Amino acid sequence: MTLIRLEIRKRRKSMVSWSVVIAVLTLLFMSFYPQMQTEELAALTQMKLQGFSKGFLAAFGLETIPDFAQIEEYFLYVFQYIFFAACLLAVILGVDLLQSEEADGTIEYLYAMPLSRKQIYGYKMLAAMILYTIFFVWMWAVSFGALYFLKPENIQVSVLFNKEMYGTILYTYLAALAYMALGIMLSALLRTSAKSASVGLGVFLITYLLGIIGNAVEKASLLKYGSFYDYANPSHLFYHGIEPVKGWILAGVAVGFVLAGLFIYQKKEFL
Amino acid sequence: MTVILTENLTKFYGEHTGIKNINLHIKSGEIFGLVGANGAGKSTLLKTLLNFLHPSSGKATILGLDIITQSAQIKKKVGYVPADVRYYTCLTGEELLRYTLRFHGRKDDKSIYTLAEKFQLDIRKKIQKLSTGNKKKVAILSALIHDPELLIMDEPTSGLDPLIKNIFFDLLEERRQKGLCVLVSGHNLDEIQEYCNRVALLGEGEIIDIKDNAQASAAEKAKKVILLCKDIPLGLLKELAGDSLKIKGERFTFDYSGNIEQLLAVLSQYTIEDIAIANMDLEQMFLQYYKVKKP
Repeated sequence: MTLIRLEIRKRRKSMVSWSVVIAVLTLLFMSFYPQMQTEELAALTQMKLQGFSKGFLAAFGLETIPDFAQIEEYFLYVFQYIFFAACLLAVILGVDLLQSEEADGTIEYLYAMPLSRKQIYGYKMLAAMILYTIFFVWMWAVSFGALYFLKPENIQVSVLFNKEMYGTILYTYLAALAYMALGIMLSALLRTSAKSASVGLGVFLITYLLGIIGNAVEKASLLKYGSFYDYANPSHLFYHGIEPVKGWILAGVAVGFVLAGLFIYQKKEFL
Repeated sequence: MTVILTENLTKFYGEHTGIKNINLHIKSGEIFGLVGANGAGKSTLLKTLLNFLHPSSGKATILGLDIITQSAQIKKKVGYVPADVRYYTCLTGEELLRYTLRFHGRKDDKSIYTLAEKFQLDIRKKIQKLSTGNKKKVAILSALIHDPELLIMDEPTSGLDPLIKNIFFDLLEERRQKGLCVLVSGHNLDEIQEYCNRVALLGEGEIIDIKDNAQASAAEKAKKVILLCKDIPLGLLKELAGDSLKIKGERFTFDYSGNIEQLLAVLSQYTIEDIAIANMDLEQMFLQYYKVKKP
């Protein structure tokens, strides 16, 4: 428990910064909604989007062209960009977990404490999960807050809380955890000279691009399975419903990466 | 009671030797020193014992516990002072020391304040704002506050001022008398000779020799003398210094293994402008042993 407290103490400022950024981003995106509400603009947007190829639209989560006048459709469209930032945070947090301690040399302090490698790995991972879960709840709370205050008066709040929305929350959380687990495994694998933010950004963008290419090019459709982001694309989940198999894949991948990271970390030495 | 026991402990970094066939038997109440040139294997040995590095072969126990499989249990009873202190810069000294106590399952913070006062350390400052010496004090406190049975230290006094060094060595001696075992590596041979019961000389990862300070011969306790004198006869100096005499103008440098009082009595008959007498430095001692063992 002490290591969990230490880890949270170390990262709390950075997590607060991310939380503020994500809240500002959400509010900025949602502040456009009243403009979208006008039928003229919505029709214009629909018309413009119909001019693009199906593959191109699919690449940007627009395979089913949303009706931006509907607040939940507008929200789910803009939320994919907020989710993008959330996934990026998850992978950076994961990569940074062990790698930064080794690069800074602070891991020497932990190794001198009565903790096994397994405990260091496990407690640090739990701390990251706690921090990320708080961030995740905050992200959705701000999103729902924005939805609540911007929704047209004739729409009931209950419309926003349906099965698809709950599924979206669950799947986005699972996808973020899968990214974090991938980051943690890389953290155990990387040499100390690597910069965690650059590695995290690189890894996330590669998987994200795999998803874009997989969606845009039919011949390369298999590539989209390399993107955890794509498994939990909010717009896709809303229009097509949740697919339990994708949830299980995300959970399995997360557990797999965590176990692989533990295996690697137990053999790692501090030179 | 045996605290550290190693049997042919070996660590290779690829093809490069870190340590090779290290056999040590160190008991409680003993201060054991490790000296050797850079890259001799001192830090590798300490890090292997602490399970920072995994040995390539051989085995070792600390307080009867295996250094690999029971490392976490061992560390409940061990304090460690690193050569280069790199702690969490966002924490204050007080916070870090409190975390150390919590890791060891201690809830009483009194020892933090007692030791901080003794070492004249302002524990309210953030670690990033502390000087090298003060960071070292935090490391020493972190290693001592949970009353370990074994203290492992890598160059513990680098960066400390002479006053704090004295406080530190007094405290070590006090705890040693209560049974604390200390394994310390360092480059300051004066300190090692003065405070260690036994000293191992390491070279190329191997133990070249283990000296028992209590049983060291007069020759082994040789001093280096630097003398600035105008009127001392050269013949007399050659008689005192033997082959080790080096002359640079009026400055004479030589090794002396006889009685220091007698030497001073002889020298006092002449006009001495300056004199310095020191234990032979690490490099000389090391080279001397190295030449004997590996011609």
